[in-house]
Amino acid sequence: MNSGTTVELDEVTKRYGSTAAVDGISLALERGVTGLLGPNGAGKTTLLRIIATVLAPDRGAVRVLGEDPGRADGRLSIRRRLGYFPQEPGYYANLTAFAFVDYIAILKELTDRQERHHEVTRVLTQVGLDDVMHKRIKALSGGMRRRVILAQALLGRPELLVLDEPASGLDPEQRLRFRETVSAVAEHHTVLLSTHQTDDVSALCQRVVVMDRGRVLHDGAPGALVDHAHGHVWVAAEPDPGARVSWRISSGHYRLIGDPPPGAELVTPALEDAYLLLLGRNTSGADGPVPTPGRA
Amino acid sequence: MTAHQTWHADADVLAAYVAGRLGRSTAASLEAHLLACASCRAGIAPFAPSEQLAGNLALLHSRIDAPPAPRTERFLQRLGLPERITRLLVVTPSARLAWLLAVAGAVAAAVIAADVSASSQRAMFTFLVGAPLVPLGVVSATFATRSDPAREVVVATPTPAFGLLLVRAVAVLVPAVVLTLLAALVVPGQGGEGALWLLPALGLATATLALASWLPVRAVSWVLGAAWVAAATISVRGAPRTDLIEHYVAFRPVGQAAMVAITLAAAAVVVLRRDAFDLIDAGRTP
Repeated sequence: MNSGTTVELDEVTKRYGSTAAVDGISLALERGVTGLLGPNGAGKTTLLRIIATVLAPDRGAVRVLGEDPGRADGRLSIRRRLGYFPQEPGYYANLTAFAFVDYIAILKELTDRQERHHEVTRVLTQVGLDDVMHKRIKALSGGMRRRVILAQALLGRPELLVLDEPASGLDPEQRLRFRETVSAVAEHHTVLLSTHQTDDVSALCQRVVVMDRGRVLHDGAPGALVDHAHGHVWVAAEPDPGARVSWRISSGHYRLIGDPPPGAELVTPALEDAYLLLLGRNTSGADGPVPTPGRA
Repeated sequence: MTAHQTWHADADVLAAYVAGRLGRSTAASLEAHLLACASCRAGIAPFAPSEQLAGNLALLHSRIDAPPAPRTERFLQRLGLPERITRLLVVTPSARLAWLLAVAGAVAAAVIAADVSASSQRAMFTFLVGAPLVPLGVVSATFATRSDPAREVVVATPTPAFGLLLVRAVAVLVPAVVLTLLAALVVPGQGGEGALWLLPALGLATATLALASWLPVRAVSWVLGAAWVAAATISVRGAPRTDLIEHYVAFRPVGQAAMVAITLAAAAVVVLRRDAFDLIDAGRTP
């Protein structure tokens, strides 16, 4: 393990029955923000749970912050330095935001009342909930509730922040604030961010890992992923049945991804184009269609 | 107000005041001066730890704005328990369910015990068979963390999940057991018979915990509870109504000794397998 490596996975596998949710993944993460992209069922959440020490792999070696999460003492050491936002972030709706985060702070061993309340106030302010921290969670909007969970993940300034789709349900302003918070943490620490939002990856991540069916399809800089899509994105007046994905854009033309016909009007690809192209190749080979979630 | 000030504190004095190094009388004198002297108030600003002061102000606001703790929590704090413990005991829905179960079980025990006082041994037997189901239900409700909406967040904290659940279970079990025991012992003329359920209760509760490190705790508690009741029912079939207790081996000395052995063995398994509760795998922390 390199001195700068905070997470190291070696041939990690986790199966549920006959399905491999994570299938022999090897990965090393360092300081900064790493984005984890993939369709539903790709294995992202299972991978994050393993890294967050709440799930044990069936096979393979895991090191997090220099510790082995398979050992009780290693797990304890990791959890003291970990912030975790799970995919299904539950809360006690009758508690206030302050009381809930305070409860998690107690579990995170912040036992001195004054210091703990300082810290709880700090993280709730950091996520922009200082005005509503004493409202019951059930009275808060969906985006605010997610920020309560984000606040608990920030308690104690964790060295490793594992975030499983934290930005879903946030409005544009909240999303900008979220990016600001995450990038501030990532200046000194490691953030692993699972998301369906390629614009969050473009805006935040120095590195992107694309997963599908338990395996890593791409691991590198977002720019390197985009490079793969050069020459595969074009616009046309009509949809092309040979394209893997196409959708109508605001100008009334179609944006198409795949193998362009001769003379096509090529455009600069975005990360989302590259991601869809990669998934399409993995799903059905060179000629098959790509899944088009929410568009077409 | 500053027009008549004849003296001003120098920078060293102001820095020492902020750092808390001034003597009490000097500090009091300076504080009185600061109230009247804008120049010295401006002079002290660079020494003030602004982040700490902002934190203090935010904390002050949060104390003023904070709603009172729930009634149960305030009651436990009046008993002398620290806030960090009371919060852990009352915050989760599973803990509240366990409390409800415990109260319901104790009330049921009292009702049955009242019937026992009418000198029916059948009622005493029903009480002895039913009473262990109260702790069993408490353990099931407390450890069934699937119903805890924040369980994944909680499991990822450094506080061992098993210890947390055990503290909650004990906090509910102790009053439940005491109430149930009192319900039996206050019945006149029954001697120590009313306490015969205690060891089976311990055996069933610890066996449930041990098996819950592999299997879903609710399923385990249902199966063990049903097996306990079925075994009691079958054992006394055809027995005279005045001799029901003697016919169920669990209430005889050999059965009581077996319950002690089960308790000890299950407790050893629980200790060895406690780390299984630190993960969210189905069947481990169901």
